[in-house]
Amino acid sequence: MNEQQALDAELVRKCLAGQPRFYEPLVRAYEPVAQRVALGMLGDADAARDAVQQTFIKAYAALDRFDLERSFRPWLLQILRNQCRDELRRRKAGFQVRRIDTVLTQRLPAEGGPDRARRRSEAREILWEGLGRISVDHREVLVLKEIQGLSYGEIAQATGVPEGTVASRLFHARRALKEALEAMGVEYP
Amino acid sequence: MITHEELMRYIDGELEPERMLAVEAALESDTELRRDYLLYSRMKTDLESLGEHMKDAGTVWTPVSRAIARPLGWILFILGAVIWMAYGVYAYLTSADAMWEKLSTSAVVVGLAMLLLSALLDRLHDLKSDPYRSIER
Repeated sequence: MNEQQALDAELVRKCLAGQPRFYEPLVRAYEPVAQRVALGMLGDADAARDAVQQTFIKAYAALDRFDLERSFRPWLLQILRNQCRDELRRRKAGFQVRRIDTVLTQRLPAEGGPDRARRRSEAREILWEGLGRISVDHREVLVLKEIQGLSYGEIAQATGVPEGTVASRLFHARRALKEALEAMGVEYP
Repeated sequence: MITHEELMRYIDGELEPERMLAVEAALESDTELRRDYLLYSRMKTDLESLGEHMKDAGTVWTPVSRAIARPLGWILFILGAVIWMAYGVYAYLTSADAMWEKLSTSAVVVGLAMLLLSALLDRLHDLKSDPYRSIER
């Protein structure tokens, strides 16, 4: 068990002992991760915020089922994943491709001129739209790996599939995204 | 022979060192594999950049803290209300008031409770059968 896991386990123990104020450090530590994943899954900032909020409420109610020997992040992401899937099923509209400036910042990179910045910004917009055109399974694995930077082991824990399946799913997801971009008339890369 | 899964693991830095050498050797000789490698590496960089540019939505702690504190508040409220009601009923029944006063007051209270309950059940029925409930404003 590493230092972070030990700290998280201690906070969970205190919450379970009836001190909900110790839940705040857990929320604040993991909400940036949860928000990026929810936004990547749902494509809509408001829906992502609601999903994250519900996830933390559900996680609190389920803290007694959390295995203190394991990492908190994949456990939380598993709840978030189910929440996002429920939301996608409920609204039936799927991934929402809204105005890009509502979900992505347009800050300029430290190096490179305005042309390069514009090209990179356009590439991000295209990718965002492409993500909306692939299946939930494929989008999920890409979001967890690329946008959130989880290891194969953590993705396996969060999605409940073996690590070998993660590698295979990543390949199919990347290929699906390439095909989606081609179908949009984009020559990638 | 390098599989697609091994190429993914190589790109993501998840491949065992001995297989890494095999992939690197294959990339030198296999044009198709090299093309896939360049494509998926570029895609990885672009997607990572997408993550870095996502807007910060601010904290959700305030609504979460309200929601997790609410059950305790409801438990205390209901417990207190039940104790007071039980005491009130006991005090009322054992009071020296005339029987007709007790019966008429009981009828008013029970009648109001029945009306409130039926209104709640109607509302619940409307919510369940509302064909527009899934439409978002």
